[in-house]
Amino acid sequence: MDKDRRVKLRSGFIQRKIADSDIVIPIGDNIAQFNGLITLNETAAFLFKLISEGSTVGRLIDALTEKYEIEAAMAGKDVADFILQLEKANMLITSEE
Amino acid sequence: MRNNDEAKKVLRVPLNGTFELTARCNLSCKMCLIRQHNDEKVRMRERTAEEWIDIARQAKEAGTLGLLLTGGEPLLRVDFARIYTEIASMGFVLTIYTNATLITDEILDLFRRLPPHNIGVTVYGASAKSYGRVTGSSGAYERMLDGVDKLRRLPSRLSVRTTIIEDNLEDLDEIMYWAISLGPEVNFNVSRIVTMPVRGGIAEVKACRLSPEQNVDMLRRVYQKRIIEPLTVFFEENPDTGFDKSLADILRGEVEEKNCSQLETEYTIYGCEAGINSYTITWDGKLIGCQLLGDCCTYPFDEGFISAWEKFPEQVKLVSPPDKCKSCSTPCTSCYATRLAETGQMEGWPEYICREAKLKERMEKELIQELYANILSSKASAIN
Repeated sequence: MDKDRRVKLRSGFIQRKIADSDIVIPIGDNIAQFNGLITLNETAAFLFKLISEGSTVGRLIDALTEKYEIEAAMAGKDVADFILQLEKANMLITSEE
Repeated sequence: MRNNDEAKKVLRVPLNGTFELTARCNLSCKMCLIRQHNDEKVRMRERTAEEWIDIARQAKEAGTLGLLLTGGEPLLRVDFARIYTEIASMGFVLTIYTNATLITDEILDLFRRLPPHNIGVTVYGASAKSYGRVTGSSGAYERMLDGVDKLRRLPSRLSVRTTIIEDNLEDLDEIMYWAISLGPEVNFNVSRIVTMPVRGGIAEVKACRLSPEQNVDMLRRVYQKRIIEPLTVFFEENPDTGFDKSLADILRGEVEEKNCSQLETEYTIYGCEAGINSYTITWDGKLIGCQLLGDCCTYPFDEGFISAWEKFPEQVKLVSPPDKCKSCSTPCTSCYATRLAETGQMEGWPEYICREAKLKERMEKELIQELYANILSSKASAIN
């Protein structure tokens, strides 16, 4: 995956922590597609926050590597998998940086 | 190991909130539990838009996830759009309860931009005449139909519920047919029982609600239409199908009533989630356990939401259930809230609820026997 690829979340997804659970609540037009909650595990919550602020694939891999002290290759796979899931769910605006 | 303060935080999270934006309504339903006079005196006691928006921010910070905006009729407030726009952008799972008679083009545009996750519409009859009898406004029927038609175009989950009293009893079948015609994506419910008004509600409920016998007959018709008939057809078409769940459970549905003396008391205040994981903020600014519970309160607009939520349990003074309930095993709708509504005391014996529950228990047994007979008949026909 191109490390310079910019990854940005579409608007209308609000990330919240409720009683120790990380969840995303779709609002606005998004509820036509998801009318419910999206639950995130710890790693997904960490990545989701960075993506919601706007990031690149490379920066996401670096951040994951640093936070969880894992190898870049493993972090790269986790980031690619997560981005793929968000893309499938039509939650991303992507463009080349 | 958690210390006591940490344990308390884990046990009590204000997950589900109800904001009762007003107790006024454009309709005057005879059986309303909440409604106050629709006049300036009552309006002046309501909290302002800015106060509701601020308390929503505080509730979100405290962990509220599900938020219900209700009334009275919330759309009656002239500043509803302002309150709604702010609150719907905060990240709650949002539900609106409305009578759908005030769905203007402006409101529809607002809901198109920021659809609530759920909309609950209350329906009071199947004709202008019935609406006139129940709500005091015959024109409300056409406006409701138009409102529901508009709301159906939104991506929100729509549910329709009705409350049956003497004045619309004859409309029950037509209301059910109409609700079913809206499609399987629209959830339809009939109020289980009508209790007396609470917190100074002005409706004359006693004069119009069904007798316990009438209420159980009404429920029998609903269960027959919605449970017995579809199950009978299913077993006719699939005579070899066995059961993995008792018919009694099917009949009771997913939300099973319990006997009030058997309610869980561990980690609860009132035997339910009120005050533990849910709360209501009333139109005049009080934090209470649920909309029916006016036994005690704290004041979130004065002391802040978190302080009001944390202090709430200290205000509650629980009493034992009535003696008659202690030796009874009939499932019923009696709880601290309904006993307070029916008798004015949390320890009072709610005769109406008790009589209705005993009749309903008998009716359910009869329906189960009827269903078994239908199924056996289907199986016998299949063998022959």
